[in-house]
Amino acid sequence: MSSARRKNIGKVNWLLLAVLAGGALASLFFVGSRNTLPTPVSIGQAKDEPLSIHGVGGAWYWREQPLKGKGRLIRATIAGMKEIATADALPSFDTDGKTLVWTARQGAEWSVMSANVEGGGGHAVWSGKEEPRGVKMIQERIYWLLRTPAPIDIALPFPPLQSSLQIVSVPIGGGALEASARLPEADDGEALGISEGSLYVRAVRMSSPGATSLYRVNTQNRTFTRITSVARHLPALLTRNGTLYWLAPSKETDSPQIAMQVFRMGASGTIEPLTDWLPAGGALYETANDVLYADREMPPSFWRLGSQDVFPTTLPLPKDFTALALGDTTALVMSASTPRSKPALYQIPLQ
Amino acid sequence: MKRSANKQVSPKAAATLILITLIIIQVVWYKGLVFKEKPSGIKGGGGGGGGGVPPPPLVGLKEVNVDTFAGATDPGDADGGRATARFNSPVGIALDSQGNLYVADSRNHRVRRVTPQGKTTTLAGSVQGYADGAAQTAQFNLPCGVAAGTDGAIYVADTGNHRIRKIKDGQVTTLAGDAQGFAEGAGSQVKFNTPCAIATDGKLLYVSDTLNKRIRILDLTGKITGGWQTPTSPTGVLIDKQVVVVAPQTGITAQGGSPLLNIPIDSKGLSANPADYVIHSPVALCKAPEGWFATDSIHHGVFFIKGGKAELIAGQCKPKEVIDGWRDGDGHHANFGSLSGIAWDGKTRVYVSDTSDNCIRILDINQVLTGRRETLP
Repeated sequence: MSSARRKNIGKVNWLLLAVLAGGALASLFFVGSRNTLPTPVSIGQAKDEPLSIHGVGGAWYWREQPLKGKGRLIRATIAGMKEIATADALPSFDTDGKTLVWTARQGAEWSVMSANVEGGGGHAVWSGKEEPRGVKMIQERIYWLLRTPAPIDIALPFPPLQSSLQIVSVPIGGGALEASARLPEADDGEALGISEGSLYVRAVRMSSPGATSLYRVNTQNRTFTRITSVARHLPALLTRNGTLYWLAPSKETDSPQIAMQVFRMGASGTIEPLTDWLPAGGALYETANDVLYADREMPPSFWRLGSQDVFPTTLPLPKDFTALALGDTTALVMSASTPRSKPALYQIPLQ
Repeated sequence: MKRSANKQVSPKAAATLILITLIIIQVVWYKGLVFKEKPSGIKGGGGGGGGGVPPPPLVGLKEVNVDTFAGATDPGDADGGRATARFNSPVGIALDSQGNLYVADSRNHRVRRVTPQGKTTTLAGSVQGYADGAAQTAQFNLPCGVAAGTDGAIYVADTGNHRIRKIKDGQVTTLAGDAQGFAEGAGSQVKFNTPCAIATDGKLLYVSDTLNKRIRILDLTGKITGGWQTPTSPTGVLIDKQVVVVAPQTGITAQGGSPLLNIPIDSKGLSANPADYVIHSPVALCKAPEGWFATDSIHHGVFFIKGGKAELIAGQCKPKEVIDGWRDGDGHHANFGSLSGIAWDGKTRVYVSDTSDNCIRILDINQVLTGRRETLP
C-alpha cells in the first residue's frame, strides 16, 4: 500500500470518528433534554384514594369515598388541601373554577348542592329521593340526569318496561327546575356539554356487557338524536371547540376488554376513527393544548390524540411518579412509593 | 479451625438429592395424593334441598349448537351480512312462511328483516317518533313485538306509541291504538298501555297489552273483538290450539288466566333438587316439536317445555348466580344475555333475540330431533 493511500484511509477514519462522536453528543443532548422533566411540587397527602379528579383554575378537586365513613369533596392547591363537603355518598361533582356543584346523599335523601370553590355559601339547589346522576355545569346552568322508575317492578329486557333517563337543569344562580328530553336508556349518564345549541349526553345501560350511547339533545324542543352506541361502559368528552371524543372496544381483537379505539366527531358531524389498539382503560382529558386518553395500566400512560395518520405518543412523566389526572396546564401525580389509598400528591407542569 | 467448618457437600450427593426430590414430587402429583379433585355435584346426587351442599349448575344440551345469526354485542344500526349488521336491543321476532325473520329492533325504532342466509335489511322505520306512510320514513317508538301474517303483512306492537301498526307493500299504517290508556272499539278508538307482544293465527291478532294486564284480540281491520285480563303483566303470547300467555311474574297460563302447566316461578333462584328446576322469568314462547320453547330472561337460557316440565336446552344456570354474557358454542357451554323473543322455523332452527347482547342467536336442534343425545355428565 502506498503512503498516500494510507494517508487517505487515515483521513477517512478521522472523519468517521468525528461523525460518530458528534452523533453520540447529539444523542446525549437529546436524551438529556427528554429527561429534563420538571420537579413535582408537593400538594400533600390524601386521606383516601382520590376519585373523579378535576383540575380547574390552578386547583385540584376530587372526591373520596372510603368503604367505611362518609364521602368527602376535596379542593387542593400547592398551598394546601381543604375538605369542602361531606355526605354519606358523594358520587359526582363539577366545577367551573368559581362555583362547585355536587350530588350528595344523606340517609335516604339526595341533593344537588352548590357552593363557591372554597365551600362558602353552600346550599341545595334540588332535593329528592332519586339519585341525581352526573352533575355538570354548562353555560350558567347545572345539569343532571334523573332516572324515571321502570313502570313494572321486575327486570325485563323490554326497553319500554325499563327505567329511562330524564335530563333536568336549573340556573346556577337558582331558579325553577327545567325538564328536558327523556332518553330511552336505563341506568346512568351525564351531560357532557353544549355545542352550537345542542346538549351532548352520555347514557349508560348497565346490563352485561352494557352499552354507552351518545345523544345530541335540542334543549329547546326536547328532541334528541342518538349519535352512536358502543358496547360496555366507556367515557366520552366534549372539548371546548365542540369536538366529541369517545372510546369503543377495539374491533380487531377477540378480547375487546384489552384494547380500545378512539373516535372523534367534529362540527361537520363526520365520525372519524382516530386510533386503535390502545390499552384498555381509561379516561379522556382535555388540556390547554391536547386531548389525551389515559389507559389503566400500572402506571397509566397518557396518550396524545392527534390525527388519524399518527399513532399517539405518550406524555413524558417523571420517574417514580404515577400520573392520576390532567388539568389545563398541569398534571396531578402521586409518588409511586405511596399507596394508592393514601397517595402523596404532587403537581407538575405539562410539557 | 474446627473440623465441621471444613465439611463440604459433595456435588454428586446434592444432585442425587435434588433428583430424588423431583421424582417424589412428580409421583405425588400424578397420583393425586395431595390435590384431589372434588367430585362433581351432579352425579353425587344434589337432592335433598340443602344440607350445605350447593346444588349443581343446570346446563344446556351438548347436542344443541348455538351461533350468532345476525348482529354483534356492540349496539348499532346497520344493515348487511351476518358480521356487519347491527341491532340495538332487539326484542320480538317472528318468521314468515319463507323463513325470513322479522325483528323488532326496539332502540333503533325499526323493524328489520333477516333472510335465512343471515342478510339484514330495514323493513320499516327511521327515527324515533310516530308517523305512518312509506316504510323508510315511517316512525316507530321502541317497538317490541312483531307477527307475520298469512296475508304478507307484518304486524307490529309499537310499544312506546301504544299502537298496533301494519307494514304491507312498503307502507306503514296504524291498525289500532291512539294515546296510552284502555279503551275498546276499533282503530283510533282503541287504547293500549305499552303493548309488548303480538301473535296472529291469520285471522285475528292477539296482543299482550302489558301494562293493562290484558290480552286484547283484534280482527285484521283493527277492531277489538275480545280479550281477557291476566293476573300480571303479559310479555308474550302464542297461538297453539289455545292462546298461551307468558308473564314473567306468574309463568305460563292459558286463556282465561287459569294455570295451564305446572311450571312455577322460582323467585329465589334455582332450587337444590335438579328435578325441581323451573323457569325463573319466562318472557316469550314459540311452538316446538311436541311442546314449546321459552326464553328466560333471568336464567339467561332457552328452555324446552313439554308435559309440564321445563328442560334447559341452551345456556348455563347456577343457583344464586347469574351467568350471562355472549358466548357461542354447544348448548352446554353457550351463554346468553337477557333473552326475549323466540321463534322456531318448524325444522331445525330456533332463533332467539339476545336483547342485551344486541344480536340474534340461532340454535341448531338437529341432533336433538334426530335423537342423538349424549348422556350428560
